[in-house]
Amino acid sequence: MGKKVFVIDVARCSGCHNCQLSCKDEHCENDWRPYAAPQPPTGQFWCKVTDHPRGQIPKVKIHYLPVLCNHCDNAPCMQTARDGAIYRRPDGLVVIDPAKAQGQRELVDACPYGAIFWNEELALPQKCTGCAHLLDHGSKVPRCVEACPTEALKFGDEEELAELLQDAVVLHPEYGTAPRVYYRNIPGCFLGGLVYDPKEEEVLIGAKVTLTLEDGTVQETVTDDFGDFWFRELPECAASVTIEAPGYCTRTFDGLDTRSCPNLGDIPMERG
Amino acid sequence: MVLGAKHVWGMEPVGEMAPTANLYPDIAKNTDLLLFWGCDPETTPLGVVSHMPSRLCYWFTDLGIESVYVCPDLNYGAAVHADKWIPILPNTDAALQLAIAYIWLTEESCDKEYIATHTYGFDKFVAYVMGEEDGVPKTPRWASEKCGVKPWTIKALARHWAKKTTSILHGNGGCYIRGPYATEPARLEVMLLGMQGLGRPGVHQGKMIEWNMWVRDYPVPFHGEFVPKVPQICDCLRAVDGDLPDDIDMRRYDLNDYQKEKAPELVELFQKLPAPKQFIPRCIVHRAIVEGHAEWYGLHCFSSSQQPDKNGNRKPTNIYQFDKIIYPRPGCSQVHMIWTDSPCNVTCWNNGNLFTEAYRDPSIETVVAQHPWLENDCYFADLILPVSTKHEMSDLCNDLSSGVFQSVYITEPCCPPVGESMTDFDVCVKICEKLGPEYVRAYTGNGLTEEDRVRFFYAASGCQDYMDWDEFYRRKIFVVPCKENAQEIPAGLNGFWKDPKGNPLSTPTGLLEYSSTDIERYMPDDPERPPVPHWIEKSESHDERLSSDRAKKYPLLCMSNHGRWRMHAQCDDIIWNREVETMKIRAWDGYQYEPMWINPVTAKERGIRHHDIVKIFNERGIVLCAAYVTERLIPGVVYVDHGARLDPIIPGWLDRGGCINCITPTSMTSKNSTGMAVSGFLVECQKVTDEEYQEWSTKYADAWNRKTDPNAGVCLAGWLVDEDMDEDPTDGVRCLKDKRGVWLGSRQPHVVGKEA
Repeated sequence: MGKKVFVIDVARCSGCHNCQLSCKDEHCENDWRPYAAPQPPTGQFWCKVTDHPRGQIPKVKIHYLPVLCNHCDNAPCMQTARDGAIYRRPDGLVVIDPAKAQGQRELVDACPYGAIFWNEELALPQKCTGCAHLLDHGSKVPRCVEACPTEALKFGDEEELAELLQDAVVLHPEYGTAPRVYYRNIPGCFLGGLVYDPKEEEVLIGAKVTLTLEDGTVQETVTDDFGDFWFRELPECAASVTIEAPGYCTRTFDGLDTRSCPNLGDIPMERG
Repeated sequence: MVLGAKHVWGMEPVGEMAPTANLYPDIAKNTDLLLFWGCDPETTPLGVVSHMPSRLCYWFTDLGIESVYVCPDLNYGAAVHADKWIPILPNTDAALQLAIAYIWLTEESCDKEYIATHTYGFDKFVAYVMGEEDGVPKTPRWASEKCGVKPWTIKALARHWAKKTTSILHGNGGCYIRGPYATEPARLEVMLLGMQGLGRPGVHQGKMIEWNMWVRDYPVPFHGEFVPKVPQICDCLRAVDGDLPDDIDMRRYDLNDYQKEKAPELVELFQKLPAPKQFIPRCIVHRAIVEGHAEWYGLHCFSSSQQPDKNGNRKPTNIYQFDKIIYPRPGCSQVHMIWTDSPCNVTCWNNGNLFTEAYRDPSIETVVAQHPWLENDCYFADLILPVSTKHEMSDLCNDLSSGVFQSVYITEPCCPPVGESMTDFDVCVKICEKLGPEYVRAYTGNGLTEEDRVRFFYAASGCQDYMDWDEFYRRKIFVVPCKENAQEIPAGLNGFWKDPKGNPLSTPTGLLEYSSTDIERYMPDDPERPPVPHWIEKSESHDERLSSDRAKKYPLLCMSNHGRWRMHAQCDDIIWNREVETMKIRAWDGYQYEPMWINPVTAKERGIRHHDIVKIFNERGIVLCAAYVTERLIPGVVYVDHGARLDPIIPGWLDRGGCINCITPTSMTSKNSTGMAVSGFLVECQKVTDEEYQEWSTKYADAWNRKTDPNAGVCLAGWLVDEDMDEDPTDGVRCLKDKRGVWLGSRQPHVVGKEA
């Protein structure tokens, strides 16, 4: 059997939360032992949609990251678990044994991603099972993937999804856990502004805007019909921006930090 | 529904552009720019249709079509689809629209030939825009002060729009057409589209939900060979006898000849019972009760009762908007009793606090409510009849509007009716039994059962010609085959664009009316809805602009949208949705408050931080929420969705549930235009101080400490009283237990599969 991966296309996630809700529908108060004990009605998020608004009005962008257990190849939870309480299946999914894991509260902290939750009533650590109970009985994909209306979430054999994996990343690769949940199109930092002439009360179209990054690389663009300029997919670093338009004094903005996705606002240009 | 626009282009019954066949393929091929004007394709369709509209938006972007969102908030559609967001103050769109017209006129960037052949009254419109009528040219600078969009951005938008083939998209209009004077932006929008050649390929008004609501055709290419006509009984939507001429065919809810033939068993069920003798539009029921009388213009009944002719057209009913109607009518009684099903006036309509007062008015002797849950208006009922939900009954359903293949399907009960509840229909049958056997016969169509109705309604729908009953019952669903030549149907107002004389609009002139001939004739001096649409600052009906004296005390504009995580007032209690921050915020006191969006600048001015408990207030009352501080909202505005469930601390004055509609304006859209005005109104907002919190929670301790479910919010246990109540050990609050010994309203696991 091929090993499974999740591939999440962030550019196609509309933040509907169907994944989060369908996971709850499958597992809250449903007993799928030996795969999983019931999830409590609230408080655990085996799949959680996190939202990431960035920038300042009106240059605000949002992307959503559905996060779940990463079913890591190098799972720290497996290393911490006693008595084989967490096991890996042939298809790569990592599952907590709800019988053997009883009482092993330390497993919650073993996961650097916070994917393991403690069920106080059952004295049990719990997390995403990849809907293994469904996969073993004829389903092709877990509930979250099935419920996704935009096909942002995909699940399947690593080989079949190989092309999608080429430009994919994992969250927090520095943890060294080798996740099997991959993300595509997580947007980088951005920066923008609007250029206008306050005397004429007109936007400036076609003004040249130059971005210089900390490492010296330079990008250029021109303002559009709204006087807007954007620089996207930027690394996290210091930056400066220069705006030039014929007949106007050049303006420079130094000491910018792309991490805050700065909106330079409506930038007045003086004739000169 | 882009109401109000009827006076520009007709479009019975509610002013939305029709026909809509093939609209989105046409847009895909020919449109460069989509203006999402107060439109949220991510939110509004959910619960009504499906995710199809948002998926379409990804497709538009893939095709290189630009999406510009004009709205006060970076709404959920804008969050993932917008190429540009133009923030605007709520309910100020008319100013922006007039300034765009000003630019097009002064720069001659509109379609003069089209205007010459397709419009009436354009010169009067020009006179208003250019300032010849009132001395105030509607310049971008003039508009900017009203709407909060910078003059240079207004000019840029006007020029970009003129350059690009542009369509405007809506949900059903949302709060863009549910504010004071909303008829004006509704009309101006159509006028702007007209100035750029409305009807030419790629230039349309489109909507993103309820695609079959008024028209047979579908805006996507897979519409069905026919539209199943599942019968509906809707007597309450009938006009009073004699109010409307007989040639307005208000028989949409009657059986047609085909249906009578295919399902003769239904004839008695659909017999015409006597029409109501009088009525009151919902948005003035409260005033009518409290003041004892009311008068208004128009709205004889819901105009969708009109049966379209075989070409899908309905007769124009605009002139009936100018009939004055009064309550009580001569010879008719005042209201003495209210009988309401699934009421939500306090949380979805205008001035819910006044509605509370109306329920408790001395003139109202009894209030009977029927509803599955004890919530909202039901708190004020004398008698509450429990109703079962859709999941406890058999029904014939249709999916005709959601943008997927059209279908008719059966639903069967998931469980028997809970407790003593029964369906709304059966509640009425029980009441008929008390009135006499002839009432039962008439109401049930001589004893048809629920299963009978499913069976015979299917027969009447037209689907039985394709799939017989036995097969349908076995499969549970019939999917309408696709119309073969659907993609050849001309899109939108293409016919009108090509040949306005041959394809007239249903206005009196057949043209786009930039000065409405009906208003000119019947109400030329209406200051709130003149023949030419205007910017209205204030009037007899409303005083909600930032220029108002009231703004000294209430300097913020409140916007209210359709909730992302519920459907109007339904599904506010879904515990998994309530775990999402944008649905409910659990504040420091453990209570889940309705979020109130506020910009960081506006919040900082008031010392408000993210998740603080806040009060939003004006003269009409106080509503408590929790602050959601975000860059996603224009400064000077607070935003709370409608539909949160009431948690009255001081009924009619102070609500903890986040029912913003308790304090929305009292008046209708405008004096002579019967609609709701529930967004774009003045409030102030402050953090709830420790002293206030202490005062409310002690002075009104019973209300403040009503048992609520920690995850689902207000619940039954908080409202039932009995001598036999004990204290719930988890929180010390006294409440009842059910037969299982579970505290009413609390949740215990009910495990399926294996025993826990």
